[in-house]
Amino acid sequence: MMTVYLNNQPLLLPMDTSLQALLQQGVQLNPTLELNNVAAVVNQQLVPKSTWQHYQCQPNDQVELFSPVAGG
Amino acid sequence: MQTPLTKTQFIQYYRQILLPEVAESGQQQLLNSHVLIVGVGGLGTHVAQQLVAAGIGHLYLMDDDTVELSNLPRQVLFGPQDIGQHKVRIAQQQLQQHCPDSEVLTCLSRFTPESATLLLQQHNKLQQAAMHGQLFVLDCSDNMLTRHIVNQWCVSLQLPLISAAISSFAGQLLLVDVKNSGSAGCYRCIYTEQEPSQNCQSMGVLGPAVAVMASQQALLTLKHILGIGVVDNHLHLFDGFNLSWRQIKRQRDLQCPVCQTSAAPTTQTICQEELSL
Repeated sequence: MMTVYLNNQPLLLPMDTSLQALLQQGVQLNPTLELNNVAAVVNQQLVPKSTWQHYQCQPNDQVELFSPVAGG
Repeated sequence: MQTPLTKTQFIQYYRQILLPEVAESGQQQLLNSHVLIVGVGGLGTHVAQQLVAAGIGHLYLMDDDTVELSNLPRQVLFGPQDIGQHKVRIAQQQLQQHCPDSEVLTCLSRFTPESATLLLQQHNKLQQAAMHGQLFVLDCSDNMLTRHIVNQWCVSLQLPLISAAISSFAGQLLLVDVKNSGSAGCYRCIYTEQEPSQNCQSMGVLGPAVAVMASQQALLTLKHILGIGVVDNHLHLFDGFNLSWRQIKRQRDLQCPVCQTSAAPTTQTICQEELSL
């Protein structure tokens, strides 16, 4: 098991957890987020949506989710 | 060849010229630059004021909207007497009056690839600027669909796009320049076309928060035109609640449907193809 931080909250996860799986948990914890309409940041770097499934989370990764803003 | 500054221009822009990163040649560059602002609302009115005041020579305003009473707290170019008038017309009058050095032109239309291409066709100098990568596009629109259309158009023509957005206390800013910073990707590399649940209409916004984002957008635009520093490849996030900024490093999505094939053709080729439509 390893600890990964999602929006500063520690989560205990199996070692082979993908970013996609982590984010699915994340949107369940925060109902205002929609998985198909969020951007993901790992350790201050954006991770493109097409790679979420292949990205294996690492111990102590700092993962953040945020929604787009479109107002002007 | 750049036109020398007049004595009046030298005095007017002296504080900018004092900066070694700008100097007289930079000011001349600004006076020869072309900027297209998409959306003349909260962001667009503020950013237009700052850019013409800085001496941007050619400004194009695109919007089909009219002034409403609820716009006035954050769209400071407009007053109660302008309600019901087209925003681009009022903005043009105000900007031109205060900054006669700048040429301010309008396009009374929503942004579509067709309306943008027509604008280029109608103004030879603008078309030439686009063909030579000297047109800078500022997205100040208020919806996701337009943002993606503007992004796609800019990527296809390899034009620099400076995109800002604000809703509630959250602001976002980024520069897309697939020609000079392709590894950072484009707007579509970050977001899908789905409309966010949060927008100014449903969430509200404070005028100064809009002005903060517009100022950063104007500053990023001037820096990019002048080539100050490295090409910015971050997503800048503003938290107006805590008055803080964060920078997130961007990277291109190798499966992005918009920018994955943008690197091959030259700007001139694409521009000519677009214009022949």
